[in-house]
Amino acid sequence: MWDQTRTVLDDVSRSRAALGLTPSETASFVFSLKEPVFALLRQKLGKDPDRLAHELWRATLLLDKLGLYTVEAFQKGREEVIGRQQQELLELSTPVVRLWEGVLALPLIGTLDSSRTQIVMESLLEEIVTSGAQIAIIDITGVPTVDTLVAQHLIKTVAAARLMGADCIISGIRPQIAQTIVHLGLELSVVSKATMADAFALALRRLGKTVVDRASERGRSDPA
Amino acid sequence: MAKGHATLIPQLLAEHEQELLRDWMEFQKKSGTLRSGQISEAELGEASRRLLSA
Repeated sequence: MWDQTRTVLDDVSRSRAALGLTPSETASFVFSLKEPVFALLRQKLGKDPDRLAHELWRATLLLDKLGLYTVEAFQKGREEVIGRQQQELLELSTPVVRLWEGVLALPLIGTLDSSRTQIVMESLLEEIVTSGAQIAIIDITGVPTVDTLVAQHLIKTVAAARLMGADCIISGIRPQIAQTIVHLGLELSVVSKATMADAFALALRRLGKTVVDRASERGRSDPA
Repeated sequence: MAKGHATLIPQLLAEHEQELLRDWMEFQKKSGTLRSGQISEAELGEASRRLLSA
């Protein structure tokens, strides 16, 4: 009986959490059963006040317990929704972009923590394997702060990429972040560039590619 | 209080399930459960029926 009751309340609470209802609106579903139950008890036991008081107390305890269970189930349902959304956001916020044959870019936006770094690392390593890239540019222009922990995360990502046969370049280190890294005495031991454009130019040079300005060349060879 | 009594609640719920369901639905509708439109009357009725018969 209780298993069945819990199943019903779990279903109701989760579906209401998904619909965006509040915990009190969800608990009201159970608490509103007091009115008809109390009315029925009064109707059946009105002539026996002792028994009526006893049954009202038992009904109150039961429905309060079920109402509280509903709130807990609602909370769990909400946490599941939030957990799923966080996971989706993490995946969306760590895209690995192919810039050129053999060159990947990983533009990071927002705070880096352990779980996000794990996803960043996995996405980057998967793409290195898939594309056979030799160079990965990790752009941290959108990372607000770099502390010891974030630096460690970056170092781990760089080391893992190296093991997969790709060199990393870190770009987008802003002046404040550069100062923080120096103040903290951190050693990133990786090539860094101020902008993604600089990092991309370096990556192309390393791969032996040259960017040619064809418009200027035409201008030189075709005097007016 | 009559501590020695076993509770009548399960028996009353079983014997008056339809009556309770009707009154409970009325009460929920009056208290505005359906007002936001997020839950339909059919969904509310089904959830209420399932809980009473559990």
